[in-house]
Amino acid sequence: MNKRFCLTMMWVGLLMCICAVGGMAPTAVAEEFPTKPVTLIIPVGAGGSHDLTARAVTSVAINYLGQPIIVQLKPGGGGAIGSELVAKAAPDGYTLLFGGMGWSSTLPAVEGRSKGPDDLIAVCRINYSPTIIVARSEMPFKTLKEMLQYAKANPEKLIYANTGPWGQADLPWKMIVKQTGISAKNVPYDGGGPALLAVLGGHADMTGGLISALLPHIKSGKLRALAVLDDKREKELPDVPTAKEEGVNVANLMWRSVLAPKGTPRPVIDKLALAFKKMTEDKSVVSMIDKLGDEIQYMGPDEFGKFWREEFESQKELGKALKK
Amino acid sequence: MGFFENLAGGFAVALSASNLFYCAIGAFLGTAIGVLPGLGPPATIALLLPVTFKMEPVSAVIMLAGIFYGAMYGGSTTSILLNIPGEAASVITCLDGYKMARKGRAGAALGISAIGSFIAGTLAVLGVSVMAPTLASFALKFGPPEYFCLVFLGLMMAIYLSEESVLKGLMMGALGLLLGTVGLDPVDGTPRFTLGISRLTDGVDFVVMVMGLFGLAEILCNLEAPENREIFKTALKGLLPNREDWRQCWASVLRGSFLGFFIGVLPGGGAIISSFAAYAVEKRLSKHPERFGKGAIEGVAAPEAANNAASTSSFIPLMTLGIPGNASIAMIFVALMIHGIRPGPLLLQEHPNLFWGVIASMYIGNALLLGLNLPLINFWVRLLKVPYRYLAVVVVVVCVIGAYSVNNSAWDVGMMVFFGVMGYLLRKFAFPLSPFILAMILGPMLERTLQQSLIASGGNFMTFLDRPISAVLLLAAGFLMLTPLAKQILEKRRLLQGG
Amino acid sequence: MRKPGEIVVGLCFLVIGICFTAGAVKLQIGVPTEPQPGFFPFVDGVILIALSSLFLFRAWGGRAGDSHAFGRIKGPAAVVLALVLYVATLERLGYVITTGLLSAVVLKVMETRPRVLVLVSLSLTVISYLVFDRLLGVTLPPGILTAFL
Repeated sequence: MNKRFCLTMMWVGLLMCICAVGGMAPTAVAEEFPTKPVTLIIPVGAGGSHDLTARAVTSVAINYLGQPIIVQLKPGGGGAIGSELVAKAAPDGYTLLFGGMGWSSTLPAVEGRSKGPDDLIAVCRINYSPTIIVARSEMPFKTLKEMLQYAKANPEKLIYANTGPWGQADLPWKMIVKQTGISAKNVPYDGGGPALLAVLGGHADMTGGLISALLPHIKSGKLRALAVLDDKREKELPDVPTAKEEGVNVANLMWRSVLAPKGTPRPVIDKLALAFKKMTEDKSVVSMIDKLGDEIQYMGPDEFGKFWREEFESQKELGKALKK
Repeated sequence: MGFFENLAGGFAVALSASNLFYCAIGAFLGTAIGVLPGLGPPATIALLLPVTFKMEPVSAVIMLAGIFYGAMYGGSTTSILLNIPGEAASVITCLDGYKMARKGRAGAALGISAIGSFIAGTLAVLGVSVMAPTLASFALKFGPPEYFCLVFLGLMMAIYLSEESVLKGLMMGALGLLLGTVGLDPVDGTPRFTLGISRLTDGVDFVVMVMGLFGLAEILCNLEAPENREIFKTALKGLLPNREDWRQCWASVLRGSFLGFFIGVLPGGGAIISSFAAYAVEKRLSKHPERFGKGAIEGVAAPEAANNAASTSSFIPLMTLGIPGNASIAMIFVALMIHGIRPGPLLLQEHPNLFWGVIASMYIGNALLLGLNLPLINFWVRLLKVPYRYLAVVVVVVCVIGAYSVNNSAWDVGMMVFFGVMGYLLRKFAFPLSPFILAMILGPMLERTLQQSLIASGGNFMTFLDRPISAVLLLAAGFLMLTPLAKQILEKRRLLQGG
Repeated sequence: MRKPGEIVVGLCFLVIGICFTAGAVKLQIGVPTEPQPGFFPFVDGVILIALSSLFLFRAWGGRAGDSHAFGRIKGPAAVVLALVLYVATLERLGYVITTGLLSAVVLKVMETRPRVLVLVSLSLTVISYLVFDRLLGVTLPPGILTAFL
């Protein structure tokens, strides 16, 4: 009994020590933003280009923001779940969304889901990459034009793997189909990884994706790049024409940006935008983004906000036309 | 260069002082987070990711991989001691592991899971180093119909191995699939069955559900009568598995490793399906299947071996195809990409040191983990000598904190209580819980692959039978379903003839 | 032997199945070539309805299998009630107060002596708060004690 009592007292003493130390920890409420870590929500799965870019950029956050940025993955519904979460979060700058064209423009414009420029405001754009259309190298066509001929000769035979409804692969494919009048099966996969796996395994014939994921397979000869959906050719694929060169007027620039809940005070937005600008100029970040095969294309809050709004409105029109 | 030269080169990389250090750190951290419920390996790897940006790529992967397979070792501890699975792959360990602990055999259960994991891990690493490219092409053979049939087979296994009636298992499976559809539709994102409650669009969190169904429900059951509360007072028989235990389960460990290794190669639900599959196989092969669910040591050894082998072989799709198979591996993928290394078909040629260094570090990591976990068993077992009332109140508080920390909201604590009451009532009416949990986890995958198969085949259901792998998987599922039925019919006939 | 409890459980399953099936119909089922969001829940709901009808049929005949008898449910009921109150007040009163009371209830149900009860619930609350909130970075709600914590 005596021994037990001693033990208990020891515990109590230990507790008091911990309490004392804990009490000294800085808990004061400061006026200055940010006083605690900022959460950046990525509404899509791990390992994608958004995830990689966000992690590269935020890795140096503490040097320029004074607080770390915690990257949190909230995938689901093609980005809708994470976007809705951020739109509902307190507009204090502590919860941000890593925006992408798919869930921040297309989904709200076409389907009325997820959250667009009506519910979120722009902090800044980091960069963008174009969609690249690829096919299995066993397919009997080598260019976009030949693919279109093949699809016309064999209606409903081609299987196209998209990376989620209205995503980086789905939207441009729907545009190509609409413009050229071909017919093919369009199968939904939950992200770029599974769609790529399906094409490599021969369960689908074509997919669209970003260069960082596709390049190793294009180099190894398993996949053949048919077209780049940009206004200019891709630096690392100088031989692959743009869709416009091949006579199909489709471009799809997947941008990556930082967005905040609507109502976030302007000084906080400015502070964040400045910190992100400095982060994207950090040498280590620049070299990491370079290794991903991308470059920094920073755009400030006002300029990007305008670009985003225009894209959103034009996709709204497009959605109405495509759904017919 | 031959295989042994490659591997020797790998060991030279992995045995350097700094890499050995990172390997130890990863293994230790992994064990720690595996034991603490609520903190999963993906979250921990994500937290540590920025640290790795400044490290050598080999060291980074060695450390992160250590966390991942270390958590697999640690995850079974809470399953056995407190009936709370730390992660999805150790749900099945609760069935027999916790029963063993109640019989005073926690030491043997923990010992067999540590040693079994070590054997499985070592075999799997050997397998990876010999046949990684072959296995990658095996994984590529799995399209939507194959995945659908595999998930379906996994569900049928969970139902088959539920100790109670097959009908009850089927009902729980169907209920799990239905509750799994709550949230956003996986194909086009329409909100379903959310009753307008925004919290429900995210679906139900795994941690919240499992803490309620297993942890809290167990406490509620034991609160009923005073005699239930002294369960752990029985003398502890032996700290490690004895010779008799080994005789019973060495083959289970080998079978579990084998199954886990092959199923783990498939991206998606590999580890969890393999643990269920290993358990079902053991129950099917056992001469005394009635012992399962009541503390059979094979029921701990096989799934633990399987989930460890699976966690090792899940590196194959990443290293050979550049496709991460689960959330933790995806984080390791990110770490590689940040260093400018693109995992994919060219990795083995472009960065042989990295590939073989990581493989060699896994051999070493497994040995380290065994050395770390065996002495800990003594400590865990002593923990069970604490009077049950104190243990119970600690479990309640841990469940509450774990549920709260998922989204920092009392809503999740409420859901946990809901599942706790549900688990308590279902247990009273002898409804099995594991088919329900597996169905809820795999339901979205089942639905997605079903829709993909149907769209790609033009709505033709025969696509599942036309393809050899999926047909075999479906047949296996049918066989599993029919054996208990056939047994019942035979028994009835015998009774009729006898009477 | 027919057990009323089993019939109630079977009815619960049946009602859940019917609710989900009805909801699935509202969501649009679609056709196999172009499945709509309600397709999978519809198929699954119908299966659950069929299974629970079979279960009810067997329970009616007293052949639904074995269920365990309820013991004294006073203990579990008290703890569940305490947990419900806990959820309702957690964010307002804060972690420390509510958890202290919750663990006291659990210990009370387990027939712990008052002195030990106070000591254990107090130390458990404080230790868990320090370990999780301060050490592991889980933010637990401070509630009305905000000023002190």
